[in-house]
Amino acid sequence: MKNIITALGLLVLVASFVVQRDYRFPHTNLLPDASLVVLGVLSVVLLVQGLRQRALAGAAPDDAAVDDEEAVGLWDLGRAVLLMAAWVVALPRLGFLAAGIAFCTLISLTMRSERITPKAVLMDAAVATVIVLVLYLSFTQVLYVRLPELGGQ
Amino acid sequence: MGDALQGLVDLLSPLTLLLVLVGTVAGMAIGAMPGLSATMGLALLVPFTFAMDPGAGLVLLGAFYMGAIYGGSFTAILVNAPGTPSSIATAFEGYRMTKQGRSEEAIVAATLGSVVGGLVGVLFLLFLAPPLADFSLRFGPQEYFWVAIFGLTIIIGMSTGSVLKGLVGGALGVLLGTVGIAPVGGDVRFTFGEPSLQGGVPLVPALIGLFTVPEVLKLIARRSREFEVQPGAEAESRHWTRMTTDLLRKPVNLVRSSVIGALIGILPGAGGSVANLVAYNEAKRASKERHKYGHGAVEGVVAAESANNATVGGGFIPTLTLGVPGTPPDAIVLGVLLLQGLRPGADLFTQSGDLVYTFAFALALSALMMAPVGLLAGRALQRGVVLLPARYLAPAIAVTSIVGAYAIRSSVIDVAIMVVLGVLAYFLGRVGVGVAPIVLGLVLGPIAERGLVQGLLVSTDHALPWLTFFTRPLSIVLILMCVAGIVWPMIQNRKQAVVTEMVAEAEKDRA
Amino acid sequence: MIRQRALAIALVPAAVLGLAACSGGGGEFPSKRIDYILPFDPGGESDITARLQQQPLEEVLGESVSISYKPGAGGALGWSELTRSRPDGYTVMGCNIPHIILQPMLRDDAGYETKAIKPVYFFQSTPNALVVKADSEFETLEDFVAAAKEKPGGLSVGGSGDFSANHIGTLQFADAAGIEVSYTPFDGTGAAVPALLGGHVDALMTYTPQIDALGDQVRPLAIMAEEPMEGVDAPTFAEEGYDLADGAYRGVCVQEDTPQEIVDTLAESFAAVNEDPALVEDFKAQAFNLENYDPAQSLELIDARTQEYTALLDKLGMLG
Repeated sequence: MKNIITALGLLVLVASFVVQRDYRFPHTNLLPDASLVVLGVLSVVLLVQGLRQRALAGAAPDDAAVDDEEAVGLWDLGRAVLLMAAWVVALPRLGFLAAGIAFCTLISLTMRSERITPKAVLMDAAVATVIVLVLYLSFTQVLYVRLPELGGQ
Repeated sequence: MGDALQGLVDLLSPLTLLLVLVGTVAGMAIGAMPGLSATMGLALLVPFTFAMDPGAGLVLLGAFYMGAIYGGSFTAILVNAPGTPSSIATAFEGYRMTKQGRSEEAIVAATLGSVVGGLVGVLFLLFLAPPLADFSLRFGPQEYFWVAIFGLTIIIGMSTGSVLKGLVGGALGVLLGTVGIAPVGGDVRFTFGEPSLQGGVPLVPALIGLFTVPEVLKLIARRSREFEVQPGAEAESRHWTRMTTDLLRKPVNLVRSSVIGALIGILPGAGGSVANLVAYNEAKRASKERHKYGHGAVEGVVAAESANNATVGGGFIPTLTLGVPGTPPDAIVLGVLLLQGLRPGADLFTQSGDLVYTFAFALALSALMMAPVGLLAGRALQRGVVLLPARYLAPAIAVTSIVGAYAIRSSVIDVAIMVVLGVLAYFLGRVGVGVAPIVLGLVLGPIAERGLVQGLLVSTDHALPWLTFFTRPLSIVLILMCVAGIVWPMIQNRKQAVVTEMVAEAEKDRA
Repeated sequence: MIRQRALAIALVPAAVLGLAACSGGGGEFPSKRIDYILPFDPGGESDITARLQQQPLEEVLGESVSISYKPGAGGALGWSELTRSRPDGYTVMGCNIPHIILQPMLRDDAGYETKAIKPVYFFQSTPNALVVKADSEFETLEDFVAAAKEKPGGLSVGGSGDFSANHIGTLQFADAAGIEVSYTPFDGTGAAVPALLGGHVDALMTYTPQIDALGDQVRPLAIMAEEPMEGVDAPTFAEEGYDLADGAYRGVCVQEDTPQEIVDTLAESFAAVNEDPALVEDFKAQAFNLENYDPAQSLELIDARTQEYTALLDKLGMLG
């Protein structure tokens, strides 16, 4: 099943690249076209393999071994992805400092397995502040790298 | 010889020694931060060198560069964050070792490899610079194309599970590498109408995204590490001196990888990223314990780290003898050389010999200094990372990744690209497509394309320009290497399959 | 004690933030750090130039100047970002002719328009130079043209990148001489050199500083400077009968809505930096040409070049 989904996803990707094909200068088509063909063919092979496995084994799970090792619940994973994505969205608006402290604290809190007490919040916020502030100061003051500030730019 | 002696005497002044120490330590700190490249750090140092005399300035820059390449190994090992393409292979094995609770051994191995590699690179620079520089010139666009293809053949040996999925990853990586302005020709390709994608998929944010972000996601999702640190384990483990002697018992890997690094390092533009991969692959191919690779083989770390530090000395060969910077950091050193009125060229060694020798010795000294400094700082960092509770480690890695992806060109888009690739890499990992082939495709694809298109453009006087890819002597050698790179792992896999089958049969008999 | 210091350090960014928020209200320019951004990787000609200017610029402006990089798409990524930056003069970006002219002209969507970036000062140039290997069969420009006429399209000329001065220079030269050559772009000035020294290309259209840097490994055939250059043993293209004088011009630009008085202040500062004796000396060491184009003259330069390039590219059928 996984192979089928992966193959279909890859074919969609290949298709999205193919519709954008538009070359003005000589030879710039060679490598992209070659990799599109290769990836397209490989995806089809993967698709066929997946379909055959399914037909052979019925509904038996393939790659069960891999799954065991990576046993991460979908809900937990969704939470992790959401936190990271929200952080990136907040970055230009809140600035590096505020967004960093907020999301570091949030991540720490969601990773606590015991009940969250006010003391735990304070503790996690303090650690987050130290980590983010040290990074912020060393980048902006020592290395002269400008980081996003509160309110854009 | 007099110049060499003078160079050594100049180096041994307390001030110069201090500069080497400061440069090495600062370089290590910058190199350990993903997203802060050696190039960027060197550029920051340049104004300081204006105020120094030529020798001192070069010493500082050289030591900084050497330290920065070594520093990259820390984060690659500890949190799977290779800051540059030079430490990709380090992450392959080093991070696996960390997962097994063997991070200290990995740090010691990286240190030893870096020291030896750095020294071998300097030896090449001192004794073989002119002939090697001439040799590097024989590599034209066609040869660069084949070097990149040779690098891509590593995918086959690396795909432990399914070769098909390894190839899928490689092709996907190459395809992602074609986004943006074409490296030759200037076409705008596959930007999905988004002008900020014209710069393509930026390499460093992509590396952090593909390697590090999936690990962060797993940490957050699991609420704990994959391995638990046992307080007792630390005390039981071998002392670092013991680890070092164990590693030194197998000098072949160290020397081979260093030589590979120094030789590939002379190829401008391709050296740094290709050398560590090739050395890693050769170490694996030569090893009697191939099955350990991909599961925390300490020799893999040694190979990658000795190769990438050897590229430092190797890269300076074309820089100093031809005036052609081998790597981006070399370009900065070259600029400073020009400012000091030195003209690179075959006669630089004879005309301004003392200065060149001081510089080379400073590189060597910096390599030596990495041992004590690295063992102290690296192991301290390792302890810190190991002892930090998972709930603080995860946000700390996350925020470091974000700042690293952002800093390389001050762009929030790059941070977004990092996270998107990270999520993608996580799911691909679950279906068995590893990140290593994707990264190889992403790094080597543009090198291959440059070689391919440039090779066709410079051969317009031939009736069939593409034939030149198959007729040049050096190209033929490289093609043979590519063929060997494809066939060899297949034979070995078959052998291994036969062995496993025999073992299985034997066990069945016993039962 | 330590805690107090940490607090003080922590307050610094807050103070900077506060200042930044107030600076919109007018007052003297500049009143805070200037960001000098280069849309290229560190280590190139633009970077070296900026590093040389940094200290004298700080002295003239009385504020610190930080140099950072925003590379990608041959500079286009940085320039399109510039058009979206605040028009307050605190974001100053390195900009190169002909890049800022050719990219919008030849790409469907470069992310910016040439007129959307306002030139402040062009302070440096490096003319194009046609060089061959020291042991090449081509002794003079005439030899090269004759050989190119013999086998049209058979000679390859390497150079730095697409839509660069090297690229357009090769096109201009081929057009003026009535020859056909194959231009091969490499990844920067440095990357093209081994291709020449290794004999993989027949000639290199590069910048004059390379003549000096590569020494007796190469032979310059002609340079695209207005007048013969001191220390360069090569005729100009004009002396050889081709009316060509062009190269890369490096300067700084700001967002187009930046008030004129701020632009003038910046321009005066860069002009003053160009007088700095140490800088003049260092420019000479790098074989850079010192240029002094104030904002108005810079605009004229851009306009003139735009017309020239449009005519040429139109003739070659490259304008889609």
